[in-house]
Amino acid sequence: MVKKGEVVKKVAKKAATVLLGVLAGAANILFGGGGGMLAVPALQYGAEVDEKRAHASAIEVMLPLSVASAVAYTVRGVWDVTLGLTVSAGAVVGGAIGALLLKKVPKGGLSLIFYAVMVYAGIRFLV
Amino acid sequence: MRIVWLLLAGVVGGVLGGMGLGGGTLLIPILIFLLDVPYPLAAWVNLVAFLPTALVAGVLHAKNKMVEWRRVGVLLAFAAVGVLIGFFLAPALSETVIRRAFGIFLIVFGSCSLFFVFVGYFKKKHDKRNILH
Repeated sequence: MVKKGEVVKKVAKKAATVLLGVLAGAANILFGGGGGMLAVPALQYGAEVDEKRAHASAIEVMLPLSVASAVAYTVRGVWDVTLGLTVSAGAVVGGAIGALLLKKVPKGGLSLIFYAVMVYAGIRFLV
Repeated sequence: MRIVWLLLAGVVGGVLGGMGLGGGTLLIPILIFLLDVPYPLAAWVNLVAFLPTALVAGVLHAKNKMVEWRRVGVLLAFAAVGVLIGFFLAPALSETVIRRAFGIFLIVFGSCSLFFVFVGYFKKKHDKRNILH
């Protein structure tokens, strides 16, 4: 016989996948980002994928979503090639640095600062 | 001079994204508050800036067999529904509403993540002590 607790757990995991998945898509198009922050826990807790694989898989989820969202903005007339290219160029350099740093620097301290700044930025959006 | 700041903003977002911290969530506020990029354009820039790096990372992860493709497919199906909802909802929402929602999103996720980082830190310390005894 299947235990009741296990069934509840299974349903909760499925529900987490559905909810976080839909929210990731909606956040990505409405805010222009942040979907990855929902896709990672969706994979980690909803589908029991380990942290590293969850991060890797989340990128594959976010790629088509971001293309679709970017196209939607462009179609509605929101785009600026110079601005896009400049920031992208910086992001490519930064992405390479980040990937190298990841292997050498412990993430702990940096993530604390990062999340604190995130909360601060959130407050700035409200006031 | 502005172009240098925009490049730097991209670098900061890229570093954080490359470390798997979610650089986009910080690149958008940097563009809006520090560089006066209007809201919808900042969102578009972030989406576009994510693509080249993510493409490289995506190919590398796939090559290293780090991707759970079946899970990706399932999640993508639900996320596509979310994108559609967002697409049709967006024109009905004012910029103020979206900015507030994003603010709440950042506060909720920032504080949840801070909480988990602390829990992880104390758990590690606790486990170490248990091993010693």
